[in-house]
Amino acid sequence: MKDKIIGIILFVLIVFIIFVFVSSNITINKYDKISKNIDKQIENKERKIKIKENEYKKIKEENIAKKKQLDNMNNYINTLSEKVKEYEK
Amino acid sequence: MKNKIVFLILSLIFIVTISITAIFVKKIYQEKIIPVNEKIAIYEKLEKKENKIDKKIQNEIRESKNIQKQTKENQNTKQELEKKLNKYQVTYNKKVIYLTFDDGPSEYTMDILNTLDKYNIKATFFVTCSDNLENISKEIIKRGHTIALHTCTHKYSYVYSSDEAYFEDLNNISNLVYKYTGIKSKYVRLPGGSSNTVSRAYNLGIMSRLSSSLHEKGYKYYDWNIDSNDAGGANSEQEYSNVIGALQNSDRDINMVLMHDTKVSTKDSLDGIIKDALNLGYTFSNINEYTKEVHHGINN
Repeated sequence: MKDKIIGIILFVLIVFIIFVFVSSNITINKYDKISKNIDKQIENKERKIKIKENEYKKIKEENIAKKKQLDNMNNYINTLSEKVKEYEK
Repeated sequence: MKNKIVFLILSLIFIVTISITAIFVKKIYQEKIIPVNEKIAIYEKLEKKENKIDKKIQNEIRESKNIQKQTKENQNTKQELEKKLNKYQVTYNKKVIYLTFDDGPSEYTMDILNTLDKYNIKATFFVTCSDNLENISKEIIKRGHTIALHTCTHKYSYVYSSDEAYFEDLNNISNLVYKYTGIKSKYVRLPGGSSNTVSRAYNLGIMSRLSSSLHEKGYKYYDWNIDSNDAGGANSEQEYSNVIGALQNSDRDINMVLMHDTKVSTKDSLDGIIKDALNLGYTFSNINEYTKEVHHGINN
């Protein structure tokens, strides 16, 4: 009877060890896949961010240039208004 | 005694198994799960960064639209003020120069436009059917100058062969200018000027007829009273002295200067001419609705 109990306990332990081994392997594979997937996504995101940063820089630079032009135009308009006012006096 | 030993061994095996399992699970957690969580955190950070950039881009786009709107409004104000100023200059100022450029556009026209921009000066371009008419005519209008018609071909033998040929040629350039700029120009310069005698060889009396037909059709035609002589082969120094010399002796209200944007001498002399004409107290204007016509005496 005792031998049977010992056998059962040993059997349970062996089953437990096998279960742990298999489930840990499954977990490792699963997380490896997730890790690779996330790495790819991170890489894509970084690429996207770089493109968007460049786009942002380009638009910003264009806006700065346009603002300068606008300022020049405003100055020119002021000069014109002054000249017109002089004639209207 | 035997039972105790078996129990001890079993307990030991159990403890060892559990410990090994715990260590194994911990290792998996540290080597696999934590790095993945960290990567997820990095990804989330990147996503936040991307959102921030998106917002920044949208703000810049909004800003760009505002600038465009303001520029458009300012453009209208600028045009109105320029028109007003032109009117006043023509009415009150005795010293107005109209720089006119014939026969273009050409490879030199952009440089000429840049020089004019440098001094904020407006001029008039009597264009022909050149290869780069589309781009340059748009640029001429964009920069606030007047686009006027010279004829499409500028071939005396054709345009002065008959009244119909002349108006067909004029319509060709007029339609092209309209197509490219949306402007139906009513300002004309006859090839060789209205005083030319070349036309006699092709059609007697055509200049007299064309000059009145142009008015009947609602056109205004402009000759010149100062010739830079660039078409006659003057180099840039000669062109400068031709124009400035004439301006120094001029007592006219309207000084209509003939130049050709097809000549390198014109491109090279323009800066100096403008600078010294300004020093002489002249103001510049482009041909507009208030500009009086300048005519030569007709010889054919």
